[in-house]
Amino acid sequence: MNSFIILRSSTAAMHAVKILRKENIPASYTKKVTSRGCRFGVTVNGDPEEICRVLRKKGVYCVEIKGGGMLK
Amino acid sequence: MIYLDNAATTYPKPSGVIKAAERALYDCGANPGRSGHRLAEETSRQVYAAREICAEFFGAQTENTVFTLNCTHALNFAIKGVCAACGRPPHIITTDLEHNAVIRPIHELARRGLASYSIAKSGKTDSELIRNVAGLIRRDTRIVVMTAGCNVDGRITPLEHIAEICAKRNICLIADCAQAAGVIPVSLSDGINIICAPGHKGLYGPMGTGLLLTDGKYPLKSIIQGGTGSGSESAEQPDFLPDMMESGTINTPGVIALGSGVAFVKAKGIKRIYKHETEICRAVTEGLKNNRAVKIYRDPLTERYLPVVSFNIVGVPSDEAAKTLSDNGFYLRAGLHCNFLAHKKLGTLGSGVYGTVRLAPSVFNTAADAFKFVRFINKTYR
Repeated sequence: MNSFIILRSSTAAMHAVKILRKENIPASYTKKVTSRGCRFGVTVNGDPEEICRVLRKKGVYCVEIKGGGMLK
Repeated sequence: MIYLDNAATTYPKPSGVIKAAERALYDCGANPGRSGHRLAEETSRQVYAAREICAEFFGAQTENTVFTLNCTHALNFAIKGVCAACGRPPHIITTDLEHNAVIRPIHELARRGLASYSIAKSGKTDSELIRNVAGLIRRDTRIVVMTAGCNVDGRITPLEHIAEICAKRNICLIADCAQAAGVIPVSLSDGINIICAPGHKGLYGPMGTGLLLTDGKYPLKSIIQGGTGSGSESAEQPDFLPDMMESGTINTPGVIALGSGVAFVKAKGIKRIYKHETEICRAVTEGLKNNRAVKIYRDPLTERYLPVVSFNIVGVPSDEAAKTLSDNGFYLRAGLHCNFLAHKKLGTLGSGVYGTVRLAPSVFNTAADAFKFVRFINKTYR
């Protein structure tokens, strides 16, 4: 199932796509309009919590996961 | 035509830069970081690639690399942004080598009661400059703003030593790299906290491009607010970079072409560029040194110079000399070069002398250009 990981900016989303592709994790740059406004992030097909951990190790912090719950 | 006005803007631009701008206009016509359709995504990808190459070039993180309209824009964002984040009006130190892009924002802050400032005398040597800056530090000094190299006489400043002093005292060091970027190595890893650079000079990008790069140590506040494509549900400006500093649509073809310009500089190599341009300047200063009608503003005690040569023809106003040169196919800039402080120091502001003629080569100039220039000056003015 696809999840949408929200990042804080379009630049952060581009950065995340690059990191994940280097890690062989398929990801696509995505814009979503949520109840809290416009958001940029990445659509992934895998465990979003694990993917956020991968990103966090590279200095990219996930704001929210759609389809997987809020990050703690 | 021999163009020697590259300290104002480099010309010609590398063919890769021109092609990148053209490609951006043809293929990346959507607004980056706004829409989510494929064309917007592709444009965002190209902008990100440019941001990445600029970040890497200056030792910055990609997200801490902000595209601005020019170096003045970046300096205003940096100086006023750090000042606003200080809380209390800070004391700022700058030097007598600074461009109006530095002194005017600082002076305006002081005029409004938002900061106070002191100007350090640069003297003739690096050690004098370092001593004078250190001597002005007060308990409330929070910012030092200094050029990496003066745009009038080309003097290179000892930024790495100033950075050490600033780091020990928790003072934010903002470097104006208008002339240095792309000509001498400048990196956040040297201890500089914020680098401000134009895209259109030594980085060979188009006019209308500039960069602010921060190590993130000192908080910044936004100076202009507006749409960023992020956090749109709130009246608050985003507090994260680059969005905080990039309100409104960026100069997309410009920044994509700037990325190509930085790639060009990387491929050529900064050391090679500096050596090439310095050799042209040396050929000019050597060729004119015995001509008593020419006064060159370079001090033998000063250790290092950027490839910029300021001179005057004795008894001839700088604008008239530049006009004669222009009429004969040599394009140089005359006047104060937006830097009255440096001219005051050189003695070229008042007392019958107003400004200098400035020669600044780029990678595209050749030894033959220098030879023709010297031959013309020596033939025309003796």
